[in-house]
Amino acid sequence: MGPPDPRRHFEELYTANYEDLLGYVRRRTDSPDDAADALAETFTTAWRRMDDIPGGDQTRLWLFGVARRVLANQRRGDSRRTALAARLRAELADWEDTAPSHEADAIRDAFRRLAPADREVLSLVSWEGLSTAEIATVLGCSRGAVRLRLHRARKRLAGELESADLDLVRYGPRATALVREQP
Amino acid sequence: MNADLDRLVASIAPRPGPGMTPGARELLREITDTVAREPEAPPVAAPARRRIAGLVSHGRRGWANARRPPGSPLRRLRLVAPLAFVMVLTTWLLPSTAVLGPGTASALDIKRVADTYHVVVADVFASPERYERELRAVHLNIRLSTEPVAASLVGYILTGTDEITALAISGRCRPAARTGRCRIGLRIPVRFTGRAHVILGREARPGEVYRGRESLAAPGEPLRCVPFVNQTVATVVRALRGRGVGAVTFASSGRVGTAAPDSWFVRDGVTSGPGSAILLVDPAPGPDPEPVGAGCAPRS
Repeated sequence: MGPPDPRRHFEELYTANYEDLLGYVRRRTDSPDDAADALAETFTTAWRRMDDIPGGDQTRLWLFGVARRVLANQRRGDSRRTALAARLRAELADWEDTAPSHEADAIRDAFRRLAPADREVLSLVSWEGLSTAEIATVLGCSRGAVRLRLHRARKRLAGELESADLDLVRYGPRATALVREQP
Repeated sequence: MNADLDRLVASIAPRPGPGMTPGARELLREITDTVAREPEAPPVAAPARRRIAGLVSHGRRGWANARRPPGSPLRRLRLVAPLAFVMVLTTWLLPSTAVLGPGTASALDIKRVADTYHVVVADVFASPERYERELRAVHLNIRLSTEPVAASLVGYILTGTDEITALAISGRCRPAARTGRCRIGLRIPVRFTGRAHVILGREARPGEVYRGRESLAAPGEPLRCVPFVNQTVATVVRALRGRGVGAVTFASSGRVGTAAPDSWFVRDGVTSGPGSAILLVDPAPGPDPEPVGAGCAPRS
């Protein structure tokens, strides 16, 4: 039996992780062009470095880690349009999110006022459903550091919600308690 | 406890997107067909090594680091990309010095002009192995392949190094006397010692699918100077058929089909092969389109 066919292996990896990665980049980009670029670059990196990609559940986390760096460079202005994924770009442009509710707008505004690092850990928990250990893998830091960052980010979010006059009681006792911890 | 706030954050999660679409599957094919995997490329020259290192450590750098002038129309350029791409328009330079390598049976005509090799592709359908063999004869470690592309992209190159440039003028190619086809090729510095993968756009044969697509409105493409965006499907299909494009495919919300309601609106369109096109359509018109490009005659 010969070595595994890289193309087939990549196709399996791509198919298994595409939707998760699309969700990851789409939630963190404002434009479909940026999302398509980030997807194309992340999977291109994966294809080129396939021998480095860990197996099992770690594959998705490895891809998130690459996408995170890709997006960070996009934000630094190092973004260049790739000609890959022209059709995908059109499809994402054509796909529209549902209109948010008024209350969601207020929550979203509070979330946006957080520092990027706070938003990052909170969203990895709530949008990607990652555990502390998994977030540590994506961010390349220790679990303890993730726990600390999460605690602080939640506290600051609770503070932002309060300053926005949102009824914290609706969001549970933890939100209220975190606000009380504010210095 | 923490779940309260986590649920709150979850409630504002943007929707993740349309999932696995035809465009996603096309991206998969583009990557595996056009991007070289790292183990296939060594040894590489120092600049290329730096690019790969950059890709590994910074994600975005590397093939996206290709030179591109500000404001260039790459966003509209539907060209399938490889590891890195450089799209360069150069003037055609006539060879002036001795011919290298074997004669008429070659897939490539390689001439040295001062410090540069001018490589004209004599047989655009030859195998990459044959190109590589002939390039190796002049000590160039380059993998070259040709791909069928939209008419306006013939002669464009895609590569990870900015040392290699195109030898043709896209859209204004010079048909070779013998074949009547556009002559396409590369300019490579004689001192180039690295390893490179170059994809060169060539004319498509009937029935071939373009690997490099272009907007229907691009210079040299069927709907150049025709304001087709936000026109109805019926109008645009009629315009395409009048220009010899009879095979039209429709894409909408991640679905692709051979038919769409005549009353729907065209949001965008690309060429997909000789005589064929893909239209992005929607029941509603989109935002006001950009005016048709510069160089078009004023509409009366």
